[in-house]
Amino acid sequence: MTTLQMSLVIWSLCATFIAMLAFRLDEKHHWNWFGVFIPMFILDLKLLAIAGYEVYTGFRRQLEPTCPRESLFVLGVISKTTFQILLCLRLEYLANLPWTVVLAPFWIAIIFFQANILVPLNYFCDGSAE
Amino acid sequence: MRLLELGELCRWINFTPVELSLLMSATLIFSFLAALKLDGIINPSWWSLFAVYFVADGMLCYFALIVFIRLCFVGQCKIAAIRALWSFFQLLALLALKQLLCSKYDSHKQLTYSEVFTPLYGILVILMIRACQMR
Repeated sequence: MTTLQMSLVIWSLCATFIAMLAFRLDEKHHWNWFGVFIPMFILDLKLLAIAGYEVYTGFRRQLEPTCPRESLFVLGVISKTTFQILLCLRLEYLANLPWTVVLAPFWIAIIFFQANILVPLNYFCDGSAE
Repeated sequence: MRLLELGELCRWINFTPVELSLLMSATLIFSFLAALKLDGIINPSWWSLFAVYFVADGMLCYFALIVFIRLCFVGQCKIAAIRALWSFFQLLALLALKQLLCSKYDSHKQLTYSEVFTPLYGILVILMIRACQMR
């Protein structure tokens, strides 16, 4: 998949999600919140599949160091998915769930993504790739 | 299949890794304060909560200005102007989105979310154009 295709897939899923979110928040349609978040779940599944495969192949090459940035990314995506599921549960079924509990996986996801960007671990990744 | 590299992502959304990190830090602090407000532990206005984002926007503007000046100094004025233009539109749209959200939550409750998200649609159009420009 080329860069353009990947960008357009991410773009179209995000655009669909934003449009559905606006419709749902304006109460023009009474969709289930899990339905509104379907584009985000599809995106997470796709990212998890690709990054998970890269981490798996990294672990299989035992002589070379595995790629920590991909592992951080996978953990970030898992945390983000957990946050989305908790948010849907809070909005649809569990009205008494505290927002701090709902947002805790989101904070963890942000910390993982930030580490993925900032920690200069790509030195090891580049070394293992070549 | 492969993921977007960090460099490709940065080129697409027109933010450097430092700027991305700054935005993420602002989101972390804002979401923490918003969760406390929604749970009723603290009770500031939405404008004061969004101040975190406004500070981050100010810093992003400063970074964009520095990059513009430095690129001009090394003689790449055309690239500097294009980059500054994209950054200006993006930051303006983000600022407008936050202003509209604050207005919606604090005073103008009659605003619909479709109206509030209008700057976001603008950002989406910009991102689509930038994606098609990527090679």
